[in-house]
Amino acid sequence: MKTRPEVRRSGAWQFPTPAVTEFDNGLTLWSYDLPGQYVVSATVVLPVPLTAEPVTEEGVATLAVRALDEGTLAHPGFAYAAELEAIGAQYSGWVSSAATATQLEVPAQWLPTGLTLFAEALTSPAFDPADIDRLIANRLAELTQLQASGRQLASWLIRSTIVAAGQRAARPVGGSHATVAALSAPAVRAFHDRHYGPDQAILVVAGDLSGYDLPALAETAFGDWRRPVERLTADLIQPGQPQQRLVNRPSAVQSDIRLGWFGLDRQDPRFPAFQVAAMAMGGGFSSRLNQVLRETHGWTYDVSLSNRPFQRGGYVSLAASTQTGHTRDLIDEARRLIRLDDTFTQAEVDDAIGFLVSAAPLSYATADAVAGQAVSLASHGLDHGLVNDLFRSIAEVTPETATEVWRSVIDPDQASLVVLGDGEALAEPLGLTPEPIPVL
Amino acid sequence: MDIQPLTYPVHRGQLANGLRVVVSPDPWAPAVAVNLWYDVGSAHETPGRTGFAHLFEHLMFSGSAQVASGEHLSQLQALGGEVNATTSFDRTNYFETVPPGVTSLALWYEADRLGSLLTAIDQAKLDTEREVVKEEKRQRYDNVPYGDAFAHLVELTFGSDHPYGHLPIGSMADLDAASLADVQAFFDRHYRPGNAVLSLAGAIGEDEGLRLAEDFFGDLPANPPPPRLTVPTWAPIDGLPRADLIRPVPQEALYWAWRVPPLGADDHEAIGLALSILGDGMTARLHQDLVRTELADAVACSDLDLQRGNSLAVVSATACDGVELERLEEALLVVWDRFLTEGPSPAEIQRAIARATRDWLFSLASLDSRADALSEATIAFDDPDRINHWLVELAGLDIQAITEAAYRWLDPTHRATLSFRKEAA
Repeated sequence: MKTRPEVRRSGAWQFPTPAVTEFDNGLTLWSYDLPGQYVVSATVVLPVPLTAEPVTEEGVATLAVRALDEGTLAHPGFAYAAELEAIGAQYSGWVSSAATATQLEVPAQWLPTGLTLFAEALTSPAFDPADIDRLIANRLAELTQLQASGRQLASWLIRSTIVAAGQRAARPVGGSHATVAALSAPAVRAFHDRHYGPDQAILVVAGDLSGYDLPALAETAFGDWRRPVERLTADLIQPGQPQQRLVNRPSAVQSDIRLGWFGLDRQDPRFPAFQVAAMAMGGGFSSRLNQVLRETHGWTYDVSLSNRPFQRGGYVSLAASTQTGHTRDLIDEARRLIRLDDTFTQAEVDDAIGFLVSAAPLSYATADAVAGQAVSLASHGLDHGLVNDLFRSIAEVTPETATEVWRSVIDPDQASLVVLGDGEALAEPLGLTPEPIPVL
Repeated sequence: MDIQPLTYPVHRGQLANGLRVVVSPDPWAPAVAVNLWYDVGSAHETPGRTGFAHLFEHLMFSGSAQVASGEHLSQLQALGGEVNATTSFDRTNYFETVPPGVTSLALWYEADRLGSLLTAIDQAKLDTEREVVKEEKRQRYDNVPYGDAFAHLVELTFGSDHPYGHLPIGSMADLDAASLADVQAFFDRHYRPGNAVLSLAGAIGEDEGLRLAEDFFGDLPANPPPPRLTVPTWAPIDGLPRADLIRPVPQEALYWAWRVPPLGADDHEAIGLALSILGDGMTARLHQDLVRTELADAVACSDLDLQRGNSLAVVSATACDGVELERLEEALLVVWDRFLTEGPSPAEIQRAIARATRDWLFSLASLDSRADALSEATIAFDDPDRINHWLVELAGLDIQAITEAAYRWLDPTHRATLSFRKEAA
């Protein structure tokens, strides 16, 4: 039998630094040349916060970003999609509280054509009313699906309770039934006209760029893009009041459980210590939550602690699912663990730092992953060097700083609770009155 | 379309005990992916023991002679590695992606459990993991809309006694019945060096990879495995089997399924292209004729890429609000018949190959998927280099090959049908 081999530590690693080019139309290029990554990801991040939507037209930002590949003035109907598909390119787009992102993924050999087509969609979409009406119907169906999925709905409900009621972030990003049903092609066109322009936009390109002069390609594709647009500052998200909600899903054979808190953003000096603490509590296999709830009790397949920064503040959520009969036990045990009666140990902190820092080269080994992080930074108006600053700070976290920040951010008595499950069976053990599934 | 072979290096070796080894060095990679692929999945389970291959996969993290329970996962994660395992119909794969200096430790963990798993398993671990797996079944199948779709589809297509007639997750009753003796017998039968492929991809040289495989696995006894499980190829389905389920689903949905040629057999790749032309992307036939016409909200086509006897092809569509499933099914039939009659256009084939190119390059961009692809190509084709020339093979398929394969295997009069309908209001 072989004896355990020694481990050799890797040297220091840096998140790649992009080549930055600024164009005279206000667009900035962040270019990441990643040899061996043969699918290139190109993303235009538009600094268009969700609050740019008129209140009565919530969902219009999402419709606009989804409709971009439904045809252009030069390639109406599905001729545009045919052009994209002929070079294996795929378009996607999404909206967050802080920004709108539009993305094209294309094999490197077809990048020049891909960028030209990408610019065509951004600058001259057709927005055919028939397509917009269909996308509206799709969005309404998506809301119906969301209401039927315990996991998705629970995650949405906890998020909406973590932020203050009345804020845009407390309502669905893609709009609700009432607002979406009232949208139309002219509203989508007007939104595009007002907000889709190059000023302050960032083009993030990641992949194997060998043989290409990327600034020249980007200039060819996007250089003529000129449109004066409104640039708004995103409203800062405020914390909501803690709530305890039992949402009745009569057919459920399992409860979807969420506990949530308002957390920290990346610019908060305590953020690195909080990342370490969150990892030790609920990040990996050896985390306290996983060891007790899954490995000791066998109550859940999956327990996780999400820590997602907003532009200011953040979103912290514990997620687990268990059969109805273990619901109360799991919640009680989770609350006991997050109370953190025993401070984090040096071993726990070392493991969490290892998980976060040593895993970074692996986590960012693909063009897709590098682009994802860069787009997230660009969306929040942050510098591309911030990742390396955070890694340096993470390495300096101690058990004392991790424990202190956890206790200051996570108050077990101020948690919001959402349980989606068999309301009749759960009302008594949880001491909560079941409410019907809300109409989104 | 000019499709050239890819150029990932591929080196093969085999240890005296039968373990096949594949090494694919990558000068740009920051890590090494380790993939250990055992040729055992739910198809190997016996009646009354469904779900066992997957339950067993969970127990593989319970420790071994020199490894404490859970240590394998915890330790590698703390060193910056990613670790997991999955079970499908045909195989169980265990994989780690680790910093280069941790490769030896990852291999040592894998070898230690292959050499000594049974010394660490006890009734308490079995009982806990059984509960975890039952929660997994609730979470992924029993508590989600349409969660039982594939359980019905494989049963309609193959019958419950067929090796592919049940899902890897198994049934609650069978999970409850699993005993320690079953664990022992399963390990003895299937977990042998000759029944596995070890693939290493990334920041590792050819010689280093082969030497490390020998260092850590070379001493394990050969213990030759039983002959590879084979399953007869069945002709297409007869009799239009059908199941109509009433469920509290958000949208009504329709599924069709066929028995098609397995991975590696004639027509398999042509069927894949036909399904892509029908179902993938905005120019796909089903998108044009069902989604743009607002009969279906979403459509999808897929092939499970099963390896033995037959594979399973599925098309699914969710109905737009207010559209009767009968109307959707009639429209689907029109699209399908037209495709079988006229075949694809050259532009459609070109788009399908361009899409496959992007998907394949995207998949190989990550080391863990690349190592997994090498293992699969070794088991199913005895040719790990297939990852480099698969796209060329695909690009060689013409209109006739795709049309004839679709006509032979995707005939709607030889399908199985599954529907989800809402309860009457």
